[in-house]
Amino acid sequence: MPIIAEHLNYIYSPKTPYEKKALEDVTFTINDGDFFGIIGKTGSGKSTLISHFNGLIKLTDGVLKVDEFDLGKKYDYKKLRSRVGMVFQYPEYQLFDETVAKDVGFGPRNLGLSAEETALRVKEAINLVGLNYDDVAERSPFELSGGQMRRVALAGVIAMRPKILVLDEPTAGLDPRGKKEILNLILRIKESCPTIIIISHNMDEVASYCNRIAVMGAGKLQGVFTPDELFGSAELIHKYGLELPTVSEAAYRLKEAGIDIKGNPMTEDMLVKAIDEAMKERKK
Amino acid sequence: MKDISLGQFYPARSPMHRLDPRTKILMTVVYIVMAIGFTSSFVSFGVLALIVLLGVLFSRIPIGKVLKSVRAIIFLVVFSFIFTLFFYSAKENDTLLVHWWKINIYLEGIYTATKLMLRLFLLVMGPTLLTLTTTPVDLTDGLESLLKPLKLIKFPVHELTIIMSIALRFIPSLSEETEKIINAQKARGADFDSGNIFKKAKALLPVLIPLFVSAFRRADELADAMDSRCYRGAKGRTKMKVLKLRFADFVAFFLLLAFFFVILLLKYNWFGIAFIEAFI
Repeated sequence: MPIIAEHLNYIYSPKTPYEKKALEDVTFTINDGDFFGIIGKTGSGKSTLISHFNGLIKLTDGVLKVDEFDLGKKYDYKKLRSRVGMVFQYPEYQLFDETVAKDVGFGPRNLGLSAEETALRVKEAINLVGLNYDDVAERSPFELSGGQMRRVALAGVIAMRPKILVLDEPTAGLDPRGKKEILNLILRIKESCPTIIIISHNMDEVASYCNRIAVMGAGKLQGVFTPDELFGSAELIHKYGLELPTVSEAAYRLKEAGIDIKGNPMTEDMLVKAIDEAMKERKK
Repeated sequence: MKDISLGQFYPARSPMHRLDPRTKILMTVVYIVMAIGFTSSFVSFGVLALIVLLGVLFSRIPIGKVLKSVRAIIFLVVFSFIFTLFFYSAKENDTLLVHWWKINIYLEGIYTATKLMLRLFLLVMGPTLLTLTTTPVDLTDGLESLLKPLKLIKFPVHELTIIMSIALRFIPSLSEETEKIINAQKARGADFDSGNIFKKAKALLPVLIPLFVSAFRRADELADAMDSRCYRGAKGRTKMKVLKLRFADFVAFFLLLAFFFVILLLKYNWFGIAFIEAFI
């Protein structure tokens, strides 16, 4: 079951001098199995929007349905929050427990699961994020490296076995290699958690990983596109003031230089293939 | 969460906002001295209330905002009102109103309790007006300037005020951080609202520990940033915004002193003015 939002509005501190419209008439649908990207400038309402998905921000105006939960009515918070996993920016800053295993087990324990079930899930989650359980389980999370801490934080959310995972800039502050590792990790998570929603400022990421991209601006949803539609259209890119993904940029430049690149390649592999074909074409 | 910020500054353009922070701090001090030491009759409480009212009018702050500030102490006020009322030690000639079991309520007791209540309310409202109309940065700037004479006795005025302004500066950041951490732990199913008080306190650990870690991290980063910009304390340091007294500051301050004089007159009646006698 998907996420359906209709005419969402949200205002921060209403009726004060600090009043701020954060969301205005936002309507869209996220389907099961989507790798859904949300892009937009700082303050465009992205974080406010995703905080609605698991009820951290109470729905005040509009319709929002997440799986079988109707967020306009009464619902079981804990159930919803185990269904919708939420990884915030710099999640490593939320670690608190004595050991990695205990920290990862925080979510499952809150769900009221048995000790055995919790231990099982903790082990599974730590392994899934690419850490060695026997190595890290009994260590303090504060001894780990930044990248490892982020993985532990991610494991803490995975251990609740969500069906929808929302990530707010999961690669912020990482080096290119760390970014790639985290993104590939997310792809691995997608096998057991089919719907992924990701906020990102990095156009390379959204172009090569997402199948649909929502563009937010000034609290309004500007539109939902496939990467192809969005980054293949000079008009849209100009209209929303977006940066081009490196791959699209390279493709544009090559086209300008007279090399006939077909279509809009979105990943490095696709670009290499397109260049290869173009060169073969030339030789003929 | 956003409501807990100590710097409850209310942005507006008004004569009160434009006053020099030093004037406002001094006025607040004088006001507190008046409220604690020299108001004794209902009429002088009326004068105090008039001062607050004038302050509200000249600051263009909705009066509800100022009244809200007393909400925090309402329990204390009600408690001390009842306490004073029941345990009032009567003097001769006091009027007994109610006598039931061991409880005696006197008319004079009601007066005293009401005055106490008024004093507490007015005591909170005055300083609230100061923080509502002055940004935390201006406040510490003003304080530093006012405390300057203490430098003569080697009191580290600059250090103290920079600590204060850093602390104030970080209240919103840390409160934002707290909110983020609370949300993150809530997203992991944490429950902060149910259970008894011990359970609730324990539920706060997953918030407090990351908060402390992040506060130390921020402190380290700030120290590095200050070091790398060659910060070395007060010596030779100039201000970007130099405080300057204007005509309005003198007017405001002398107006307050005039009110102070009225209150003193109401208390001591040096000149033996007959109609004041009636108010005492």
